[in-house]
Amino acid sequence: MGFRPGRRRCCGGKVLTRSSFAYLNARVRARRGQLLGESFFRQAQALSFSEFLRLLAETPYGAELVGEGLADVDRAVALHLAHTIGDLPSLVSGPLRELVRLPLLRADLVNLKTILRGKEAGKSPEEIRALLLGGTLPEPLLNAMLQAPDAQSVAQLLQLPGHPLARALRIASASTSDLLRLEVVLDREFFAACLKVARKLRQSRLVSYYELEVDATNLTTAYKLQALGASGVNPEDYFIPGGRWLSRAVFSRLVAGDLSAAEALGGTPLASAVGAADLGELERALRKVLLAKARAGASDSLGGGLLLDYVLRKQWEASRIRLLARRAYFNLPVEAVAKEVT
Amino acid sequence: MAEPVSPTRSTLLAKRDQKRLALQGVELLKNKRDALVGEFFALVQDSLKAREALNNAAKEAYFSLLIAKAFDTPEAVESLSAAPLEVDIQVDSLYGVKVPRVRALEGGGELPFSPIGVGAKTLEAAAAFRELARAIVAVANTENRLRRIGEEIKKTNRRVNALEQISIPEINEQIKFITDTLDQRALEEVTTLKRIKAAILRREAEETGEVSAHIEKGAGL
Repeated sequence: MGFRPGRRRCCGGKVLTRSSFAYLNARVRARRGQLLGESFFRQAQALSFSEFLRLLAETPYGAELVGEGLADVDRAVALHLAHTIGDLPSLVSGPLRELVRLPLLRADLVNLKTILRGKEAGKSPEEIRALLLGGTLPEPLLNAMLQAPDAQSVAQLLQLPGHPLARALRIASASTSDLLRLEVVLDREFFAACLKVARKLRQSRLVSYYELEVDATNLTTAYKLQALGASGVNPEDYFIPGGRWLSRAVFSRLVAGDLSAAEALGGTPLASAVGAADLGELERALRKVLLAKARAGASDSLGGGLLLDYVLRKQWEASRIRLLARRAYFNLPVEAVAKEVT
Repeated sequence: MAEPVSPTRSTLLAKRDQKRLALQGVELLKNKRDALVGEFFALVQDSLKAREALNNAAKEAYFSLLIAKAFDTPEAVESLSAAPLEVDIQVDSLYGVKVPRVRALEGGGELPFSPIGVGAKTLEAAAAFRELARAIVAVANTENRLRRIGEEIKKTNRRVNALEQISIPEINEQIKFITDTLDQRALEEVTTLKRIKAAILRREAEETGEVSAHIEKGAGL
């Protein structure tokens, strides 16, 4: 969604100007030019690992590629993502930065869950540290949290004004120390924060995307719970509010194994995923739906849609590279990963 | 080297009892060994099946893991690696051999982590690794039982061999020694008696003045 000429948008006393988005989107557009084309992935599918490394070295990932192992490829991908996505908030200021930080909030979510799981499992700070990646949490704070003895101490240390996950974790850890419940609280809060910021900044394309992502997440969660056959699970505990197409009632019916409930999604953007034979196929179908939704929003040159599309495409590109690297490293047949890469 | 024994009739009886006991022991040990060998070969089949299941589970688990790491990042997937698998261990007695029976317990259906936002591939990998852990426990169970039974077969074999090759021949030797000694003594006694008898006869003949070729020859000696 763009601004009408001459209009300014107010939010929280601050003003989002057309030029703020114009500058950000110009930078994002320049970076989009570095996205790898489909020809790279077609070519990389059948290569040996050494040939794959040579091909990857010719791409923008090559600058980060040091060494000739699988871990080196993973490191290069992580570093490249940190350089091309992680620095985006530094390009803007004010309320727009809050919007730009949303895709990075997912890395914070993963990092916080990793720390909580590590504490629960009694892992050492060094072991947990090796599993953290990117995000917006400052390094000294991460180090302090790694030294904390338990989840409650982690929550107490996480004093970041305005950070939605920090507040949610503090409130949740005051009432429970159950890891599963804390994780669910953080998952819910992540989507609530994304929707809240997008709505506050009146980014209707982002709102629409996040609503669809909430629906997609609820749909996969319902199928996962049903497939896992988890006993004593209350479906309500895992439903994320904020979606547009998938209601709480349909979610509960799907969790209970009533797959006919998915018929209610006919005629919605999720319809193409409903007939999936298994979880993997469902996830592939939903990924296509979400990427298409983000791509449709990329035409919003004076809004956040372009940024969101860029971040998602970059993350999908990273996943495909990691997958192809593994195929080549373990010398797996092309067919083993072909359907996942396309 | 056989231990020195006193060559008496009571020792001979004791040694004969000892030999009977040793032969019974050999028989029992051979029966035990045969039973253990039967059990061993039955377990070998189970062990081969468990190994094959382990190989298949490992292939599936590692393939799921590499796909999961590609989609959900290696770090996020590895952070989920702490869910423990509970096992039940009981000790069975198999022909007097203590063998542990290890069994992976079925999970209570509780979720080890929030399924929200975790990729399907990661869940598949988690399930595949749970299966792999169960397969490892199954292999540990059968191979540990095999090892214990194998050790017991070797031990029983050594005992049978020790009895058959060392103890029983030694007892036989002792019995032979005692028997020979007793026979020798008996022969000496007979000879002594015959000499005494001959001396008595000779004295009687001298007294009566009879001359006997039989007496002259010394009672046939």
